[in-house]
Amino acid sequence: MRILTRLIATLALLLFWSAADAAQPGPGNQGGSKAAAPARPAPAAVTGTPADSAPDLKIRFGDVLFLALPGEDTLNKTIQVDRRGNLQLPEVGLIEVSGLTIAQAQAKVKAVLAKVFRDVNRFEVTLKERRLLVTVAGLVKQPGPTELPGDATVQQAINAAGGLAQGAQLDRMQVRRGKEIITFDYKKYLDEGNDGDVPVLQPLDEIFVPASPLIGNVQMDYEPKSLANTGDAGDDKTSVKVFGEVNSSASFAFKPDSTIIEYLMRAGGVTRFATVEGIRVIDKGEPHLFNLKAYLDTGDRTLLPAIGPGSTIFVPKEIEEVKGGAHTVYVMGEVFKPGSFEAAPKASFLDVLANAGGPTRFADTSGIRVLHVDGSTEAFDLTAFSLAKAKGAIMPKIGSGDAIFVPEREATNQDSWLKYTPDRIVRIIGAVNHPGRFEWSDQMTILDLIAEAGGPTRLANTSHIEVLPSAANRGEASQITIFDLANLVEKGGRLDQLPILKPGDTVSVPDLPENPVDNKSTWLQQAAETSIYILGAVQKPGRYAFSKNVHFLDILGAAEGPSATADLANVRVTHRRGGPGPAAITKVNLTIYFNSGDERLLPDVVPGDVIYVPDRNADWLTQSKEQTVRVLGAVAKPGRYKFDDNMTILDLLAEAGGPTQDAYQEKIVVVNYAQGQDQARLFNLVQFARTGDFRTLPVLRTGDTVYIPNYSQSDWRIFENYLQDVVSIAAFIAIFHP
Amino acid sequence: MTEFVSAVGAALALMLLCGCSTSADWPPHGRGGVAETRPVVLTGEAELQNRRLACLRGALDLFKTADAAALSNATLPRADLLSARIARELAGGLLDDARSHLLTLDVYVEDLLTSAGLPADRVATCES
Repeated sequence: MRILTRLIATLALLLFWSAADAAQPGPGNQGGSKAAAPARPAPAAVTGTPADSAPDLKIRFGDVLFLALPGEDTLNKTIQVDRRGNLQLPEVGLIEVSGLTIAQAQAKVKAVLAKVFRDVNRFEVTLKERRLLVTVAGLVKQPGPTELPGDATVQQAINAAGGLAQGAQLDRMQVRRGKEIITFDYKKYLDEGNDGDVPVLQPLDEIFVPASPLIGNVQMDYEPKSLANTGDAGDDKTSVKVFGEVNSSASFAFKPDSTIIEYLMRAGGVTRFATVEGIRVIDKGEPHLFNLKAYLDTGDRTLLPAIGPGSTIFVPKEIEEVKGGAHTVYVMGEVFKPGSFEAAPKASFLDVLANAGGPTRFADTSGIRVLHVDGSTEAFDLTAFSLAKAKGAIMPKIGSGDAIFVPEREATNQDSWLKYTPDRIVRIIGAVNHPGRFEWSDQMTILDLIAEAGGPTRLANTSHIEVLPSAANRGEASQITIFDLANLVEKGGRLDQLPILKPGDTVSVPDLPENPVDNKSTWLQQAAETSIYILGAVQKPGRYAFSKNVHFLDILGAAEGPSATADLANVRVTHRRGGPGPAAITKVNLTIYFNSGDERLLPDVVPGDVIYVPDRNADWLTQSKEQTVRVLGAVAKPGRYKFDDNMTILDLLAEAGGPTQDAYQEKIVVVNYAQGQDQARLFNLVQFARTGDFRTLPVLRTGDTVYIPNYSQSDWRIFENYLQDVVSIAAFIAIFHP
Repeated sequence: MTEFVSAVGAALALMLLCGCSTSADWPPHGRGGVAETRPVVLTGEAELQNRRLACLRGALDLFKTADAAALSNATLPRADLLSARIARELAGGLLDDARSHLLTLDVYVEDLLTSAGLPADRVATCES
């Protein structure tokens, strides 16, 4: 039975060897064979280093030994020396064998086994395989103890630990062996493949992979490319630092054969802003100036400065030159290349701005400010300047030390009105749809402002828009300018004669008054100088908005016309002239106007004037004698009556209600008030009625007097009175005469 | 007695006669109240001035026929009205006033003729 078992184990071992020929050996593949140990020494293991049969070869930690004791299955097996140098044997426990030769180990184990087993003479120990028990620590993916073939290298150990992690510092790796630390340049080994650059591993070695100082003290995931851009220096003292106008400022590990060109290349090369003629190098505390351009032009390697451990390379930024001048100006804010510039004395504002790359699309080009070296500031509207309208504008003069500030344009959805200072806005108030403050530019006009404010409201008085200039713009004695938009819209005009607005100005659009009959309180909103007054015998007397484009009849129509008793022949217009002096008065005979249609009869009225339409029934005392005819005596309505040369005495008598019953109609007296000598004439109304002879009508004019006597003044009545008196006297005499 | 009665009768008759004589206080009858349409016979200075007036009115008629637009001139109704007054004044014996107003009418007519592009020297011919 035992023979059969050995035979099966031997066959299985042969099959295993055959399979191992086609496969890479693994560290774990060699163990686990529980078959009976062969009687002869185990062949060289394919999974490890073949055992050296030299008699003085000492057993190391990790070595795989084959123990053979014929007839005892528990001892016919391979056993690995553990990290303490012991063999773990059944029945007897741990036996330390490290450091012993095979023969010494065999003897030692045999002696121990002899205490348990009866026949150990045939006991035999052979070295089946050498293995390396090492530990890989530091920046590897799977740090920890690992088992390797006996002749494994550092690279195999790192691979067994999962490979290097990102940020590993390759040139300062360590092998720790007891208290000894061996530092080696693994990068150099990778570069050159020289086995001598890495130490030969021994059992229980610890490989330590340090972290690069570039990764800092905070754990994070590193993007390899960006990490590589920061250089590969292992320490500050020996690294070569490259910074300034290079694409990737970094610290690089010093390499004895590298020149400044290689370090610049490793730093990604210089940027387009670099001053290649003046690269600064500090080596061993001594500054040097390197002209890269000259080197590239000539290829002269003597121009290359010495670079040693700890050298510093600084590539300065090129200083822009406008025209090769000597004085510096500064451009700040929203330009593509803010900074300082050497500007020639004749360099203009635009030259400097152009060399700064010009304003960005976020720049507020209307609010550019120039800060002069003397402390003064100057505003400049580049937007307005660029327009044809502003050709006359003057560019700021730029001197040495001046600074140009291009502010950022405010966001359009910015609500705060504090964003705009009064020197940048104009105000529009009153009867517009969107009154408010608006950012101002000199190429805008008042029409733009009104449009921006949503236009006038329905009741806006567009004929009297007031422009109030700010005191800062026009001085303390600023005058209000009146802008007649209604006239401009209706009749056209020259846009270049519009009122010129400046930042800080205020535009006021007044309201038209409401119907004065409905709401007279709103009259107060209307300025007196924009109003005209119509009083007297009109339908709706009051105060009306007025402009120079409105006519006399417009006002009369606005007042809904004269009343039924209006005296149209004596309309008066008082021209107040807006001053403290006496007003002029124009008399208007609208009767003639309506008869003739002569527009010249209508007076020119202006705001502030007063139109008075008298009532025909007004007190006659207010009418002069030159305008009336006095009617006295026996008429129904004696008084003063208006008269004109189209009328006759008949019209006048009719106007006065006609003669009374006791009127002496045969003797109506007309007194003519004449230049030469006044005269009186009779008119016999009764006779006129009988004959119808108009030639008998007396002449009657204004200023004359008509007297209708009472019948008591007739001749017959006088005769009757005399006769009565005579009869009375005669009767008296007859009675008392004896 | 008879003498006394006769004396009283004579006194009473005298008183009656005095009562009848009061009609002599009334002014003369007037005329020419519508002389522009109902002319009266004039003589002397009044006739001369009336010819002048007629001349000016002829100029006014010329003006009226010259241009329809000229009729809208407000001076025209004023001139018409003034000519009517002058005619009345001449007929009523107010010669001083008539002469004064004729001068005004001269100006009116001259302005009207000038405004219508008509020869204004026609007014001067009326003066002669």
